Amino acid sequence: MTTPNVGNPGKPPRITVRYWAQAAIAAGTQSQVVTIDSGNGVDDVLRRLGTEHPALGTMMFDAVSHGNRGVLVFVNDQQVETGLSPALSDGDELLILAPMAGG
Amino acid sequence: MSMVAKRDDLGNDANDLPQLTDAERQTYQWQMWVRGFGEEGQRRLKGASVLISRIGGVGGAVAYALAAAGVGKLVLAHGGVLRSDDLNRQILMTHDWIGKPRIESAPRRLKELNPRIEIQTADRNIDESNASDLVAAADIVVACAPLFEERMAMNRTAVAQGKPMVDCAMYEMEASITTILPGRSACLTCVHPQAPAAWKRQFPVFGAVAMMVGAWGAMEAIKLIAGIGAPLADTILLMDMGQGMSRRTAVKRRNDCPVCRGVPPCRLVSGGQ
Repeated sequence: MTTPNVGNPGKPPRITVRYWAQAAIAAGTQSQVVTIDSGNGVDDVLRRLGTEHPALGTMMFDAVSHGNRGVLVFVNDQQVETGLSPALSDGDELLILAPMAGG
Repeated sequence: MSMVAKRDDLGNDANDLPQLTDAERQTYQWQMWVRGFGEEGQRRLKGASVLISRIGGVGGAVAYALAAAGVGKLVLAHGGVLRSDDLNRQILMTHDWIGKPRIESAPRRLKELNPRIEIQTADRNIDESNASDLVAAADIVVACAPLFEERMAMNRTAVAQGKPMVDCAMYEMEASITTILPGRSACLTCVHPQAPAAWKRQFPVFGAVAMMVGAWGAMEAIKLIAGIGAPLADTILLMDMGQGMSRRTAVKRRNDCPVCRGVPPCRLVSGGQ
C-alpha cells in the first residue's frame, strides 16, 4: 500500500521521474515531478506517462516487446521486474532507462 | 606491499602464472604499485585472454586500455571496412585506413603501444555461427557491439561457457556498464528479455564518451582477472557526462531466465589479503 504523504500531510503523494538515454528524448525532458493517486502502482504511472508523452508510450509498450516493457524501470534504483507493478509512495524516484547498445 | 598469493575457486595458486621479465616489470611498474595488485596481478594479466567485440568506439578503447595494461592475449572480432564517420570515436583506426578492413588496423595500432601482446582477429561480427569458437578462445568477454542481437548472442554463449562478460554501451553523452558472472549474477537476458524495438544501429555520440565507458569496461576486465576491487555484478552503472553525474542501479537474476537458469557458478579469482 502507498504510505501516507508523511512529508506533506494532506497533500497527494508525488514522485520524481527520471529519464535516461532515448527515453529522455521520447519524453522531451530528463525529469519531471508527478503527482500520483494513493495506491498507484508502477504500471499505472507508466501508462499515464505514455499517454502524456506518446513517443515514450510507443517505446514502452510497443507490440514488438511482446508485452514486456521496452524500457528498464527502477524504483529508488532497484529494477522493477517484468510482470510486477509495485505500489509507489511519496518521495519515490522512478527511473526509466531506454537500454543502450551503442558501441 | 603484501604479496599473499591468491587462489581461485579451484585451488590453483599463483605459481602457475607466467613470469614477468625485467622489462615488463619496468613497463607496468606504476600499476603494480596499486594496492592488492602487485606482481601477482600483473602475472595474471599476462596469462589472461579477453574477447572484445566489436572494436569500434567502445571496443577500441577497451582494447587499447587492456593492451596498455599488459593483458596477454586479445581476441578481436569486427567485420567491415572503415568509414570516415567512424573516425570521431574509433581510436584504433587512422585516417589513411578509410575503406580498409577495421580488423586489420586494430593489431597494428595496439602493437605500436605494446608489441608483447598476442592478438587473434576475426574479420566478422559475432553471430550464432561463430560466437562459440570466439568465446572459447578467451577467459573474459567484453561486449561492445552496436546491436542488441550481437550482445545477446555474446551473453548466451558466455553464460553457456561460464565466462564472465562485461557489457558496456553508450548513447549521446550517457553510458551504461554491467558485469555478468554466469551462475552468480543477473545476465543480460535477466535484465531485458527482448531486444528493445527502439534501438537503431546508428546513434548520436562523442568519442570521449566511448573512451570513458571503454575505460570502465577495461577496468572491469582487469578487476576480474586480477581479483581486485568489486565487479559491477547485479549492478548497472549509469553515467551522464552531459550532466556530470552517475548512479548505480540494482538488477536481479531471474529464477526463470531461459539463458542462465541452472547454470553453475563461474570461476572467479578470489581476493588476497
